[in-house]
Amino acid sequence: MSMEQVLREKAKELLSSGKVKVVIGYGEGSIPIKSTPIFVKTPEQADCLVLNPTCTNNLTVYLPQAVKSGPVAVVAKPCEVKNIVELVKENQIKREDVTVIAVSTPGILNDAALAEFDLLDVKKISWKADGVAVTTSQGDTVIPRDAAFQKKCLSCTAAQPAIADIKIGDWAERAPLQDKFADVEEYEKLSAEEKRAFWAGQFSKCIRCYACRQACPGCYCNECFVDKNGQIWASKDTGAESNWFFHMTRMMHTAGRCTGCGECERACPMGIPLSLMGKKMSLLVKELFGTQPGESMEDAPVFGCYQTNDPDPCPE
Amino acid sequence: MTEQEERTEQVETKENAGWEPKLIGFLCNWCSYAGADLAGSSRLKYPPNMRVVRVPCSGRVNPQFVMKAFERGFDGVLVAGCHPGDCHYSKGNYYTRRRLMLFKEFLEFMGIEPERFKFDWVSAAEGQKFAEVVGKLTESVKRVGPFEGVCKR
Repeated sequence: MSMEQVLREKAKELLSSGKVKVVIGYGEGSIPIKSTPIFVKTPEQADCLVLNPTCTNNLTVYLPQAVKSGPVAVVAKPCEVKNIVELVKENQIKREDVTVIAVSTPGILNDAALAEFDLLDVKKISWKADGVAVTTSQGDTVIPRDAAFQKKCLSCTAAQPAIADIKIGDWAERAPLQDKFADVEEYEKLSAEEKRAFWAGQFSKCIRCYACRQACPGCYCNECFVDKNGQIWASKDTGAESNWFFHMTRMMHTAGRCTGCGECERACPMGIPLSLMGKKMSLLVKELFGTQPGESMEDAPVFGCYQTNDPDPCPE
Repeated sequence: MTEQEERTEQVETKENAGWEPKLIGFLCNWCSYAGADLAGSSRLKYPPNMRVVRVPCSGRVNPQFVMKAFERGFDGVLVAGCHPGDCHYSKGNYYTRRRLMLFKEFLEFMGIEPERFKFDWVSAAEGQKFAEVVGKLTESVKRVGPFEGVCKR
């Protein structure tokens, strides 16, 4: 049975036994190059679920709202299971309310890989042993893994998830094809002045659509600091400096929660490399406090605890 | 020539000679603000470049305070509180230590020279240390020069 069929069977079981009220998964999008998040509420609808290289959205972003109307099952890739761990640890959802369907896929398609294709002519996108097959009216074209997959997938090791109720796919640990932090190292070669110039360029592109925030499972505040009308800390204008302030604050708020799912960067319509900051944050959290977001259910949230022997600004 | 004089010399040979940095300091009410008071009442001499903001505890210092200060053009920022273990509210400074240690590194990643941000402990009895901390911060900010903004264009 293919992964997709297994997923449908499991979803049917969960829904017909009444264990969950809804299964959050992927369905076919309006065109074959996109799949879309769907909420499956009856066993019959479970046949709408799909699993293919276009299943990119991080579905854990819906959890805090979805669990309010009953237990939920959610399809989550390895990086996204970590988001569920963080949401549970930070009391946004209860562990018993969520059934984690952990899916280890070969990788998710990077949109740029389709640049050469007539997008309306693409009939189907599927996994092949050595990459992704794109079916058009001219036949199949296989894009090799390096070019086909998103950066986060190329550096994925498919490590065992901290929580999983159902596991689908190949969970054997794999060697990453790319170093996850290569771009951080490259960036850090810049001087302080060059770094600020780099961000000036990036942040002047930001149009404050807040797609990064909406796509982020770590950004679960009911009212974002930037939407507040009382104390206006962050200006709503789109100057590079105000955008800097917004993104810096968002990074501090998601520090220790950011699992590197890369949704902020993917959702960004202006192509700002937001995951560069997220990756650095996760490196810093590891270096300073020895924890990694979403890796274990035992660690306390980074800013929700302290140790008396934490790194000190002036050690005695 | 003492080390101090040597540094001053270096600073003054720069093209921005005569320029004085503008600093802001967030001091905790119970230790560092009292430390600053002691420095004053003991007639200790230290650079007059810093504007002080008194906060109830160093735990009150949101990283946004520091971001805002840089965004609005301050050349350097100091955050000072009670030594770990001495917090008036018993653990406020432990939380702030986690937050600001991370933030400090992150600021550097974003291209703000580490010389511009100082995070330190000053107790109510450490008037001398307060004067030294402000002196050193002023000096290091003078070394890196005027701040050109969080985003350099």
